Amino acid sequence: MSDYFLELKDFSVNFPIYKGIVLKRVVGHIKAVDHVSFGLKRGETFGLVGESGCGKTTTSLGILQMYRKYASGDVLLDGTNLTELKGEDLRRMRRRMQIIFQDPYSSLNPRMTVGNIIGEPIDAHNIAKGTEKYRMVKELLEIVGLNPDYIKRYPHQFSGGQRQRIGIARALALKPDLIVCDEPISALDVSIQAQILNLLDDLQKKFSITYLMITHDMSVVRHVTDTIGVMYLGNLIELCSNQELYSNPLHPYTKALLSAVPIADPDGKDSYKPIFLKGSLPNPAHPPKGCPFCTRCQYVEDVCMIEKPQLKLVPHTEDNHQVACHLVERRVFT
Amino acid sequence: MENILEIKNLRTQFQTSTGNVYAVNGVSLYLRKGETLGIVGESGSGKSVSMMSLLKLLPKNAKISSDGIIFKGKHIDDIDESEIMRIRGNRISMVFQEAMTALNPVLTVGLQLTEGLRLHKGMSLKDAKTRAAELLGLVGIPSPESQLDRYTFEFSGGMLQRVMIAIAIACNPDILIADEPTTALDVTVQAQVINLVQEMKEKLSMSVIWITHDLAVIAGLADRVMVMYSGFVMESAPVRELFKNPKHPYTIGLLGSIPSISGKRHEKLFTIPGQPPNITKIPTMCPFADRCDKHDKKHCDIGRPELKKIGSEHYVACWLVDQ
Repeated sequence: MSDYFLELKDFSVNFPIYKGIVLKRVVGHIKAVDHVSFGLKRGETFGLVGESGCGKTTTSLGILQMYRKYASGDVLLDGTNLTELKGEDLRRMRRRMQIIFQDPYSSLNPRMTVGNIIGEPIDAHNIAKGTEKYRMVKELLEIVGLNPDYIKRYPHQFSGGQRQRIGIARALALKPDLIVCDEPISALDVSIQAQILNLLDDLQKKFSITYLMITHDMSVVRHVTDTIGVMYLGNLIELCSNQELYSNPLHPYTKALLSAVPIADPDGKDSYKPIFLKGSLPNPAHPPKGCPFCTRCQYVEDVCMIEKPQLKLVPHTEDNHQVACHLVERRVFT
Repeated sequence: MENILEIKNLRTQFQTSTGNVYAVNGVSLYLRKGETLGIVGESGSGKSVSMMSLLKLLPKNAKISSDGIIFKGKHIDDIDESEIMRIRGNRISMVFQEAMTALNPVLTVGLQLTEGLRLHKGMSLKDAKTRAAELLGLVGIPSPESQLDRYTFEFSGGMLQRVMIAIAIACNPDILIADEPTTALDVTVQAQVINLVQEMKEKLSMSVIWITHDLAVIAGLADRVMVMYSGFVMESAPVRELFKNPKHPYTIGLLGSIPSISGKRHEKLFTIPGQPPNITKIPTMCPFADRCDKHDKKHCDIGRPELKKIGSEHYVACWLVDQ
């Protein structure tokens, strides 16, 4: 039995590319997630970071068993392999994992009242009915900081921050152990973002929830996570604790990513030296043969273009620091 | 240094079927030659609308009034469409937030680049094309000549933003207005675009107005910063002064609520309670009063504070800030 609450083993998602209309045939695959392995400890916040198109959302939806047709590898939740479950067994496990979406404007049905939106998971899993359900929904509204009297209102009567709170209440309705937060604040105003981050933090303490936080905002990740995984082109390229990643980033891509984060201090202007990556993200249908980052890396060597580096523990570092880079292994740069 | 642009008491309202929306309520600003002015605010604070009002880029239901908009010593607030066309995209140009929607998807990039050159500079198509390729090279697009015949969908987001910057600087404008040009971009691309605009500003000695909601971006590139809320200017100061010595409770709240990359983990963030206000009427009291943690009934509920000078170039609109 591993000490991880959620564990991914060699997890991949390959979307087929079809050609033709009548005789549809598969002409290739997009490796959205490419043999990713990592684990989340109970009660921690795991940050999955990377830029658009790197596969972080696909990974999270894969964990929630949304791409069973295209996925391979194992997903273990509390010791149970989700990929082997079917029917009622899977349904029972689904109850333990929920998701909060990025855009609170499109993720709430405009024709449903708040009460129905939050009550839907309660109905779907036959948890409660009638006045008992009503009481539960009201309690959930209160937990996320909304007035319980709003139960009959529709989403358009709320602001962005309030809608996100409704989305959070819906995710909480089944008392899940794991919540996937897919860019929960990037669609919100600056003054509202902090409110939502604080709310998520309070809920975690109160209900001991494990979060998988997906975001591209490196300062948010710094603030809320315990462990961080960095993804690039469907691959997990670096994995370690929050503290270790920010003080000792090793992968050239992580270094570039962190260096590009603007500093909210006019006096930091001189120390701000972003590393500019050349070129753009390769086509995921035809990824580079060796290291996924080899087309843009400033340290690239011959070996990088031939052999794909595996995620490996780096000796003499703290907190199980793992990196997938040939050159880190050989300590070409420090 | 001389002011290249001065806006006095700009007011913009939209007439809609459900009543008026007061987007900009008396914004005054000045911009010096070679300066970068940052305008910070949340969505609906009027930062974009005030710049669109300047260039008369708003729909017909917008009512714009002011006590004067002076560009290079000349009033441009009362000029007609044909005259503003001669300034727009020529002397003052704008880079928009989403390059994918701001550019025309059915025209080639080359055509969109040469349009301004032919219109404003009277260039022939051939000359304009040569210049357009030069511009694309200038903004760092590889093999520019071959890119002119391509369409917008063939470019990535960061590349398109470069194309839009190339269009904006085509006629060597005096002022470049950048309206959240990096919001839709990834952080590594954002750093490149910011760097590019800075570089172009030096090369072409432009003045820049940079609109954003991201204070961290502003910290690195602006000379002066103006904070807007609900269509009003709340505070305006040189960038270092604003970050080190913010006076308005809203500015203090905004600065406190950004998670910092160098900050501590799991530290509670400062929050501004409540929601941004409704802008369907002009408030008679301080627009920030109901969200302010220093709210004082004696002053804040009675009248709206005017912008007052509290230091060299530091202006604040708050009853509770003493001179």
